[in-house]
Formats: sequence, structure tokens, C-alpha cells
Amino acid sequence: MRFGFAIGLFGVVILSHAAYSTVQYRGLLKIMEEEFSGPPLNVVAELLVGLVLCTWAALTVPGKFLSIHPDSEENRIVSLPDNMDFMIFNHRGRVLPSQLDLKLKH
Amino acid sequence: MRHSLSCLLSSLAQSRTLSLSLRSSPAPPVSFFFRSLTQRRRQSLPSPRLARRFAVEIKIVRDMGGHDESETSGRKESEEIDVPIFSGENMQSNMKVIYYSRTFMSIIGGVIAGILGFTGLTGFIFYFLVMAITSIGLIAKTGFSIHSYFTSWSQIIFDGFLGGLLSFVLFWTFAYDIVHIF
Repeated sequence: MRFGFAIGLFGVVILSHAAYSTVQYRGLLKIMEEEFSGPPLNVVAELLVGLVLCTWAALTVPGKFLSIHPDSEENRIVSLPDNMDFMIFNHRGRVLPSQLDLKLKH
Repeated sequence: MRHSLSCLLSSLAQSRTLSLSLRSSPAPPVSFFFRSLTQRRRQSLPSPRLARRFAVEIKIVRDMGGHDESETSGRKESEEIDVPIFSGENMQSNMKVIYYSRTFMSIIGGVIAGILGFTGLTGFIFYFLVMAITSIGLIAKTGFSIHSYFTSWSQIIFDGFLGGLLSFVLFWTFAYDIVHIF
């Protein structure tokens, strides 16, 4: 996640550099008294690179998708509570059939 | 009155728990409902620890309460309509991920639209383009199996659309002012 964050930051830096060069380009156009029809091609390329990097960061930084079915592989983990002092096992539940394929998570 | 008392006693004998007091005699459909509820609750929760982790969204019980009290063998006590069970916290976490992604992408799209100097309708077309790219990216992130992460298509495609539009317009005017006017 740190890496995605760095990629996003780099994309934002590239975008601000493109903005600064567009400001300078407009200053140049004001001197030469021409119309602004679009930023120069290298600025457009820079904006595309920045968009790609920020898209990649936007998809990886917020986190993974978690499965919503209760019987998928990652949701089948049974977790015991942390305080084991009051857990007893000599109750009526020991005559019920137990599931042997549950994974344990501490 | 005698009929309702006898059905109450038979329900007590069958359920093996003294949950109904003898002093109050509810109407026959109500006691019938209580008996069917205690019996059903015992069979439907095999492991309470596992069942507690997942939120059951809707469980509708329709009671066929107008029938005769005598229990014949081939008759259903009440009908149940179950919708499939989903993990509530995972669904919420997925919606949060979509929301963050779309908000960030609409901000970035606004800045780019401002730098490029779009005005009017062209900017909104650019916004839809950026949202389409984000939707494709999100669908690719699920690995093209939407139904294991969301309940319907409309959640992943249309969810943060209008909120993102407002952020887009804000940053679009912001960037346009900085780059082209000042």
C-alpha cells in the first residue's frame, strides 16, 4: 500500500508540473498575442502519464475487495476469543457432530 | 376456552420448556406461533459462533394462523422465505473502496480537465470518460467475477457517480482558474 501511495503522489506531482508548464505556455502566448487552443503536445503526454499513474493508485490504495459469500475460502476461518480463561468445553455441544474442515485463526 | 387450554398443555408437553405461563391464555393462533418458533429456533442454528458473524438480512415468516389446531402429519406449520445470507461488513468495506476510488478519480479528472482548458459540455463528456475508465478498472480489480463481491451490477457501475460529479466540477473550475486566468 505504501508503494501505491507513492505512485499516486508521483502522479499528482507530474500533474502539477504539467499545470505549471501550461501556465508558462500561456504567458508565452500572451507575449506573442496568439489564441490558446490547447496545451502543447508534451504537456498532453505528461497529463496522460499522470492519469495512468493516478488511476493505478486509485485502484490499489483503498484496499482489497472482500468476498461476501459466507462459504468462500477466506471467510471460513473460526476465531477463538482472546481471553481463554472462561471458555469451557465440557458442555452439551460435545455430542453434536463437529466440522473438521474449519480453519483456526488466533 | 377449554380448547385453547388443551392446545396450550399439548404445546407445553411437546416443547419441553416452560416458556408459556399457564395464567395467560393467548388466542390459539398466537400459541401456535410460539410453539413453531421455539421448535424452529432449535434446528436452524447449528453453531452460534459462526451464525453470529454474519448478518441475516431478511427472514420473513408467514404464519398460516387461521387453520385448525389439530396437527395432521402432512401439513406445513408456516412458510419461510429466506434471502441468501451475505457478510454485511464485507459488503460495506467493498462499497467504501468503490467510494474512495471514484472520489479520487473524479478529483484527478477535474484537475486534468482544468489544465486542458475544457469549457462547457466537453468537460462533462470528459467526466463520463473518466468514470467509465474507473468502472472498467474496478471491474478488472474484481477479476471479472462481480457476484462474489457485490450483489448487483448497478452497485459497481453507478455508485459514486453524482457525488463524484460535484467534486469534479469543483476541481475543474479550481484548476481552470489557476492555470488560465491567474
